[in-house]
Amino acid sequence: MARILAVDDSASMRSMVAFTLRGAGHDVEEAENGQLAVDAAKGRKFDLVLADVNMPVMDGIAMVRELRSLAEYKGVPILMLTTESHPERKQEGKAAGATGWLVKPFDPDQLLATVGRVLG
Amino acid sequence: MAKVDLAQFHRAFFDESNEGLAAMEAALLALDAGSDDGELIHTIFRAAHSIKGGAATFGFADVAAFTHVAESLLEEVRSGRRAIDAATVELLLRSVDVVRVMLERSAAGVPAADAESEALRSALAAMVGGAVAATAGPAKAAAAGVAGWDIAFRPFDYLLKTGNEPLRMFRELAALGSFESVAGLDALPTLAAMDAESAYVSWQLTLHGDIPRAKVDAVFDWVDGDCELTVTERKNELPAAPPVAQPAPAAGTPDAPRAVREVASNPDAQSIRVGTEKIDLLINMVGELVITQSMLSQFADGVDASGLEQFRAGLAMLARNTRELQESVMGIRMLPISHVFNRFPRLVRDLSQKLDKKVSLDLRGETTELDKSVLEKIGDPLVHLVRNAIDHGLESTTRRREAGKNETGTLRLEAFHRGGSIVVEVADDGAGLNRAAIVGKAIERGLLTSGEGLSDDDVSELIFAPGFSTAAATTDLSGRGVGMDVVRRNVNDLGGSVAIRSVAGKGTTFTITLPLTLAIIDGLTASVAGETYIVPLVSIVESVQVQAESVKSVAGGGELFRFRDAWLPIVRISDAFGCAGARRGIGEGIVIVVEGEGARLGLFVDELIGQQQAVVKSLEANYRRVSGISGATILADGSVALIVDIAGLVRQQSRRKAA
Repeated sequence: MARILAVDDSASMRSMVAFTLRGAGHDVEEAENGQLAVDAAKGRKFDLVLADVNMPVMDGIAMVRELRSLAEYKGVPILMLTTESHPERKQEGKAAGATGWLVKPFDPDQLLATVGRVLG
Repeated sequence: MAKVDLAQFHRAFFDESNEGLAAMEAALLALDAGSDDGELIHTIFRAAHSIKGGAATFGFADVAAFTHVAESLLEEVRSGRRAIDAATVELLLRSVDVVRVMLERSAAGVPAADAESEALRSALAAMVGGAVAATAGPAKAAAAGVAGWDIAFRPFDYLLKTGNEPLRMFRELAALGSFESVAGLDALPTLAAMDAESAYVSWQLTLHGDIPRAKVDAVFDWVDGDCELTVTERKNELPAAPPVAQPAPAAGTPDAPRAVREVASNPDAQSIRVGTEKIDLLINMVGELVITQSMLSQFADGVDASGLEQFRAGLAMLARNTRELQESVMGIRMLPISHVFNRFPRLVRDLSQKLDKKVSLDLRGETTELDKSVLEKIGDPLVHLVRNAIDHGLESTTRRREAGKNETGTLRLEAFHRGGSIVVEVADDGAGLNRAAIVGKAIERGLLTSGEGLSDDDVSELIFAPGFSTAAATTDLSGRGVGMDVVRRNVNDLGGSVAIRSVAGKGTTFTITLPLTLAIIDGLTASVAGETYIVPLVSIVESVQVQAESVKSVAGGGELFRFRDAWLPIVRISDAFGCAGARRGIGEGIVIVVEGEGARLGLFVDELIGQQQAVVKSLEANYRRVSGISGATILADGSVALIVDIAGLVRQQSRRKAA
């Protein structure tokens, strides 16, 4: 069981991710934008952060940058939820320090497989 | 692993998509009006992007395909490759409409795309630079019959800081086939010089078996650019030559400063989404609590032992807690009226273009909160009033100029609290009601024989009469087969009222007064033949004692009494609901003057008991619909009291009069 932070401004997407991961036994906390995710991450150490790229207030790229500036999040896996149509966002996320990405649309099985990949 | 049923997220997806469309529409209208707020385009893009992502995830391919093209166009605008012009805004506004319909169809389980959406999709695609690229990536053909792969992998020193972990990647490789690894320690520094978070080891990996190249690449896709990587196909099972790559200098730092895009902080209100049935249950529970509390209060009043002081204090606390709980629970159902107001900028823009009138919309009090169920039902009446105001209320540009008025007409939509009610006003600065035209129309429709002796209020009331439709020319805009009588009935059904105020040459104001909530009403309790009835406080004008001499009997058994300068019909509750043993003499009881649907009548009851809040329970759900009764409530003593439907009684009365 891992502590996972799911970040997405879309409630349906967020609850799909959270529901799937909880079903696999993980402890999932949700945040609806990058700023709220950073606040949550400061309060509690997560084993994995899954974040959308396009969000209001603070987007996913800025969030990765913020998290990587925190000592306790130097090596924590952070996955970006990107879309096929924007391959350049993968590189932008990587440059900011993201571990990897998961391309939307994904189904619950693909999500679990990818999460399994970083949690080992 | 149990399959996750995606259908459970559909409701949330449709809700948030509709919110996204509303935000998109508002931002597009702001752009249309000439705003140069840079955040607007981001808002629009984000909404389209989210809808596309959700639609693709939850299996609404038509919606995803449509929004994909819209998003591509928006991407060009966002990245500065395209300037946004009126034509683009128009196309995007139409896209909002189309997606809204597509979502409705998707929710209903029917195919979302139709000729209109396809045509618009083509129009959008034509606008997007060149053809819309197919989204499917090039599928790499699987190499047939490879013996395996040799992989030279040297992570750059910062690789571990990205959260990637070679060990996990090796496990993935090992899952593909027989796997060997040899670590290269050539770059390992002395212990003192070692940074625990940096990567120093390189690996020579061998993977045996007929494994597609794509599967190997997939393991390394996240670290592409963060390492030196060479993958070569194994031709035979001889050991490959050892790696010759020299240690590479650390290439770039992972977090080199880049231009940070300024993201304006947007104090998006936090919102919750709760199933209405759950809230209704909660409200019901609180209703019970209110009953218990008043039961206890009554008990305290009846017993006068000296030790009751504390009991009373406890009760006072219970009363306060109950009230606070009730208020906060009711608050869950309250939503800002902006949910309804949001649709008007678009409506007004489209209407004013169509009618070639200049209209400036002034929205006020958008944060005023209304009960969700009231909010859902107030939209249509408001749309009708707004259409009417622009179509009939505001004069043409030429007329306004001739009258020495500003060419641009003003339409004000305002919501505010007054007493325990919410007031919504729709006001235009047009010509005001045309008395002669209204009277003429009423005569033509057989509603009147002559306009003589009618006060201005009487004339205003005429437009609410069933079958009355104003306008020298009924346009397709405000016509729509709905008259003002329907507007009034809809508002009355919500427990509210509509009033009209008009000043010739200055404009017309419609004032809708609505209850804060439908779940609880403030009522006056009255007894008739030992039964208790509740009369909603909002409908009460005043209560009077009437002397037998001032009552006039009319043909058909009706009674009228003189109230101020009018004769009002008397409705005896005992006769209306058939209760025996009520007081008969008019001087022995009380007449409550009530108003509904613009008409007044006197309700005759035995006596008044007091004022109280009543938690409305449906009579229909528990028994059946009873004409003249809008619901029931449970009193402090556990007995049931009926809530009188004033509008219903007024309707009955006017039918009787007509008969």
